[in-house]
Amino acid sequence: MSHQPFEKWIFSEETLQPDQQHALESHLETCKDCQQLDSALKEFELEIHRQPSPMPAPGFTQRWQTRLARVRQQRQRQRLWIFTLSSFALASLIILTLFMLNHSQFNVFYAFGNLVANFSQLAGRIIKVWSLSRSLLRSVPILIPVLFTFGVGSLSATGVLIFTWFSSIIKLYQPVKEGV
Amino acid sequence: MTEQETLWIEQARHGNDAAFGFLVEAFQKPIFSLCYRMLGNARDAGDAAQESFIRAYRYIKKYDPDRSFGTWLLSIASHYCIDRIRKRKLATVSMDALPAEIIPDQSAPNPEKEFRREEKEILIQKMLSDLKPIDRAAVVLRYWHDYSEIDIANSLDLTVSAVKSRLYRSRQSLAKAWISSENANSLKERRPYESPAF
Repeated sequence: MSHQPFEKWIFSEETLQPDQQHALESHLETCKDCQQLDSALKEFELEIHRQPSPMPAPGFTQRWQTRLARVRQQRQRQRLWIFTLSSFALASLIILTLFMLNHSQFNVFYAFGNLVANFSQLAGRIIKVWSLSRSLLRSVPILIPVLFTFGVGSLSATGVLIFTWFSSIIKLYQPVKEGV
Repeated sequence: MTEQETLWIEQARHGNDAAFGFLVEAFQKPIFSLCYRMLGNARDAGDAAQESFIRAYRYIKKYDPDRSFGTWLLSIASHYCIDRIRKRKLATVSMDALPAEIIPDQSAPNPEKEFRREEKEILIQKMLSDLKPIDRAAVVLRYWHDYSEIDIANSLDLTVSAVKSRLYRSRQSLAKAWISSENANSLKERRPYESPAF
């Protein structure tokens, strides 16, 4: 015996048309399987409403507040660890790079002298570039506003970056607000 | 949602922990109930309900005040329970987790009735645990929280037609499981009187 569309009508929540309802009722009178499914579903739905609502153990809110405080502490500790480890990793990387650059004759004073020499060399080059740019600027006055804009732009970007870095460090080391 | 709850939500959105505490107090029962039906035991349900409130607290600024706060919370709890069930990759209520035998509470006014009720409760939990996590969430929201198919779709990030087909499939399997349990029960009850000769 075909159980369709009767089985579909039993399990879907769509409202049936009067003729469909009548057809379903007639089918249920003759079909044991569909009758069993229909009454099983009805019993199940009835039983659900008979079941008492489960209640949480007393002190739920207090336990939640304790848990929240614990979660906050964990997150703050986690952030501090990440920051400390990343700072340590960065410092190690810088030291390692310096060491690799001078590994043949690594000496703190020598490395420092070398660094100063490199910086002065760099400064000399910057001055050279600057004087070259100035001569270029003099020769091409139309470039002045463009170069000025770029200069101001990069300076502002650097400033913003430095400010963000410092403010994030300050924020990280601040104790978490415990609420109002 | 009452005016007081709306006020607490607004205060909580501005970082007021005490206001969020009041919300936890007000919504603990429906959230716990959902977690209990999803996970099958009070211990896991309590833990999941607490974690759901922690998540809600973390994302309170993303809450859309035009939406019902209860629905938003239940949605968080449903997703959390679904993830939890998937992570443990086991049926929520395994047969081992269920008490093998129910001892009627003799102090109850009607121990026999109480026994039957507990038996039915365990059966329902077992039947729910046999459903897929999303189907289970849909059934719990539909039957225990009276959610419409649209609300279920919004809460579980599904389409309405997907909810309809999941509910249809779940009802079908629940009805079949109910029939099997009834048959098993009737067999159990008949067996002591049966003669081994027949």
